[in-house]
Amino acid sequence: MSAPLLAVEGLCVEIPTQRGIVQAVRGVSFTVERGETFALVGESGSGKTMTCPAILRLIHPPGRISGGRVTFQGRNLARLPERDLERIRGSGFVMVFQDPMSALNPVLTVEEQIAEALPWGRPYSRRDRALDLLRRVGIPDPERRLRAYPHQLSGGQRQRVMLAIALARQPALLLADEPTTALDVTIQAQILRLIVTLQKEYGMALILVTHDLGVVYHMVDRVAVMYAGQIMELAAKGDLFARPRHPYTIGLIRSVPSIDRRRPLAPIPGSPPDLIGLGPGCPFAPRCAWASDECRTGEIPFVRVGDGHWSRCLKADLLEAEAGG
Amino acid sequence: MAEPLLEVRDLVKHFPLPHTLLDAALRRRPETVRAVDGVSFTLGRGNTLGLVGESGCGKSTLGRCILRLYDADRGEVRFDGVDLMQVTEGELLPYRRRIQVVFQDPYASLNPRQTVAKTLLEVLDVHRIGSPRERGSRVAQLLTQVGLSPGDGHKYPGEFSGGQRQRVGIARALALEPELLIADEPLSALDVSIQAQILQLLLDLRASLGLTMIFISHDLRVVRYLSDDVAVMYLGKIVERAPTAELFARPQHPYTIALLSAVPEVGGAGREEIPIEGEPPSAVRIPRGCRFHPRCPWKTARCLQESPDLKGILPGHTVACHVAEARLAAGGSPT
Amino acid sequence: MSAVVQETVASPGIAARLPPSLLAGGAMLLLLGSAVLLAPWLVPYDPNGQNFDVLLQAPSPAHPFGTDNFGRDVLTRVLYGAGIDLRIGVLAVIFPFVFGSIAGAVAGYSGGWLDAVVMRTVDVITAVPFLVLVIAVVAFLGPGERNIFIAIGGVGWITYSRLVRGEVLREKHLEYVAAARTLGFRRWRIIVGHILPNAIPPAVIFAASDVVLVILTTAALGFLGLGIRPPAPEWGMMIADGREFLSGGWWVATMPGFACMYAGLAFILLGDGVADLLRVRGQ
Repeated sequence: MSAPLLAVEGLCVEIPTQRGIVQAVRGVSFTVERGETFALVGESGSGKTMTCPAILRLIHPPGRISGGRVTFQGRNLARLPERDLERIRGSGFVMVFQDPMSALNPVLTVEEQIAEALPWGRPYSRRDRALDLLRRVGIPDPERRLRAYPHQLSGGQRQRVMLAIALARQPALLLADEPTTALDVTIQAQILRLIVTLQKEYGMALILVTHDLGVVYHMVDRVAVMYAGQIMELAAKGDLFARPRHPYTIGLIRSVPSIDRRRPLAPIPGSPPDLIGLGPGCPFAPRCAWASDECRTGEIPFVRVGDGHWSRCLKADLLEAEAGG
Repeated sequence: MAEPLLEVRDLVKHFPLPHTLLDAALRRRPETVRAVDGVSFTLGRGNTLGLVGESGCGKSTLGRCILRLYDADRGEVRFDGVDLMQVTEGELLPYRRRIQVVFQDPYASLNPRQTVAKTLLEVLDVHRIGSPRERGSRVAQLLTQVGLSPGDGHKYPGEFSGGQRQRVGIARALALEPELLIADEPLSALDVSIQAQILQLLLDLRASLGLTMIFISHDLRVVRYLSDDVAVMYLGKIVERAPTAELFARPQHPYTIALLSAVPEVGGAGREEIPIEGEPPSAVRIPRGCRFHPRCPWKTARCLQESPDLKGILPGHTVACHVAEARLAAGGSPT
Repeated sequence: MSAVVQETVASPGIAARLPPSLLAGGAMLLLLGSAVLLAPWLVPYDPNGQNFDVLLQAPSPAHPFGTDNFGRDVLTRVLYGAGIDLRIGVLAVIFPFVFGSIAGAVAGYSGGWLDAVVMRTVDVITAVPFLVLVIAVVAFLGPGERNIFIAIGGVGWITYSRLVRGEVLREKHLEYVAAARTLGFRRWRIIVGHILPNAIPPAVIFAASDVVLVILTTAALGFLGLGIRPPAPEWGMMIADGREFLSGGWWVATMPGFACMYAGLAFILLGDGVADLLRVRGQ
């Protein structure tokens, strides 16, 4: 098998605060293949939002990447000088953010912002290229929108413009951080459909960061479920929903209300742990119905429980019977 | 059906946009945001009405008009037989006690400089409920009721997580033992696992206290769990209302069907899907005729001209759509 | 009241948790304040006592800050002057702070014509430069401490009302204010009990640095002959007078200048500390 497009190994991010050091990401490892759709799922404080900027080496001080290795297209990003990193950020992978209003420059027109992202030395005029991109992302009346400023667009249109800018460099990997969270549900459906279409068209890989298991179910190939800065479970989407092998995943799936089957909700009790001074043992143990003494003290290994299916749980085997219900 | 607790009739709330001297000089017409544009519904005692719609549909404004946080332009809000629109600010106090609200943002809805106990005590104090000694134990009881410990009283809101703050917000609303609780997107700022906790708490409290509720949300999934009836709003009007099970099983309005099909559901759906394109027009320029027609896949010539009224087309099920009725009559069950 | 409520009272060890800048600023002011009160015992000279034997003497053990052109001990005058300057600084800030904050809060919360009246007044006052207006008012009323208070107070409140109004406009749209209204709280309780504590911190921080500005304004007035009447020792006037001897007696102007800096630093540290103290807990 050839090398993956992106390999993340043991990534750690720390943010010093007045109260102590927040361990936002604690040893995250995963790979993304060419053209694949991969999801990082978790709630606030799970470290999912920090992981993407850490991959791009865009963590702002005082936060810092305290460990790990990121290999993109066979190159170790930590070894690259800042200039090469900038080139990879632009053309190798790009990021789409949750709030397109703050990610777009308010004083530049749509055309200027797309043109800025276009690579030099292509044989067609920048304006035509920008127009073409706007058409591809489904902006109505694109000629007029070229001259618009971000505040003149609706939230959905801004996210489309963000996608057009991202596509300008024809990246191999698109990182999307909650791209539809700020949008209404009908607009969210439109944007998600658009991302899937564009991904196929451009043959891009996609890392989707989201809190919404429903979106994960409809969009992705593989899923990593994050909690307290660690990946708790990693599996193909079908396996994850049919045979979850981590108590947190099970709790999360049962917390999602459903339109069709009126199954009773089974909320996870308690709240996520403080990320300052996390001790040994499983961070989910205080909220876990299966937890025993060894869960609270020992180091919890990330074990293979099936084909391409990994779980960070000592009781993963016990959960197999449980998961069907 | 018994006398409804709440009856809203033809409620209208428009917000004028700033109209400067320059606008007047240029003979621009003053513009208004037609946030709530003629809404009527009734709500029986002990029932829960889910009010669903996307941002800008007027659902929160409607809630705030009922709470008299906004003064509606026209219409009636009859609470227990009394039109609240006619009650003066000074006489409103007893009604404030009977209608309470839980807000969306657990960070903004609590005064950050008051401890939780102080927040709750102040409410009891203003309404002179119980003796000072009783108030203290009532605070402890309220905190326990929403799943916090009495010791949490001397913490500040900033020391709680979002879910815990929302519990405090609920305790504050319950302090006055209201009959009607308006929950304005109480879950949308919370994480999934915490959402489920608060949803469960609301379900439990409603059962144990016999609350009548208006549950405002953009999330159809959540509404399903909590509501007896659901009303779908679009651009300031209710476009469909039905008992919950009925609405989810047999949605009639194309917008409702579109909303349902847009929900990213875990597990296969297998329901009729209307993927709608375009975005809702602004509430300043509401389209002529049916306000949904620019995005509607079913639109006919009539829809461009004539605004449909809410009509009962099935038992307990009302829809504002020219086409839905004909489709139903033709036997084309939308599901 | 129940245990829940009683325990909300701060527990011991609070001094240890006070912001260090508050402690530092407080200590510096305490030192200055006690030096002012103990001045008659600390220094043997009369602040206005002239001694032509020791004209313009450089700092020495007998006169640590030197003497001025009338042979007066500069340290003595700096200490006595501190009493005058601190009094003016503090008093001429308290009135505009209180009045301006209330005006700004009420205007911001009520909106409508009340807001229009207050803010147009503010606009009119802002249109004229601060110092020019203060000078005009003092020139009209005549020099003296009382008239300085009136002039600075009458002009200075606009800054506070601007600051507080802006904060109130932001706060009043937050849901906790809507919640207070639905709970049936009266307008006055909402403004004073809920909005103001959240809207006041920037005004408090500004007040601390405003004390320094007021001292400087008083100095400027003294310079123009509209301030405290000589020979009363006032820092601004001392600096102005010492200006003529900068080459032969730098200490005459420099020492009160240092005192001014010391007081300024103390108030700014204090303001910084108060800002820390007002920061919302848990965030």
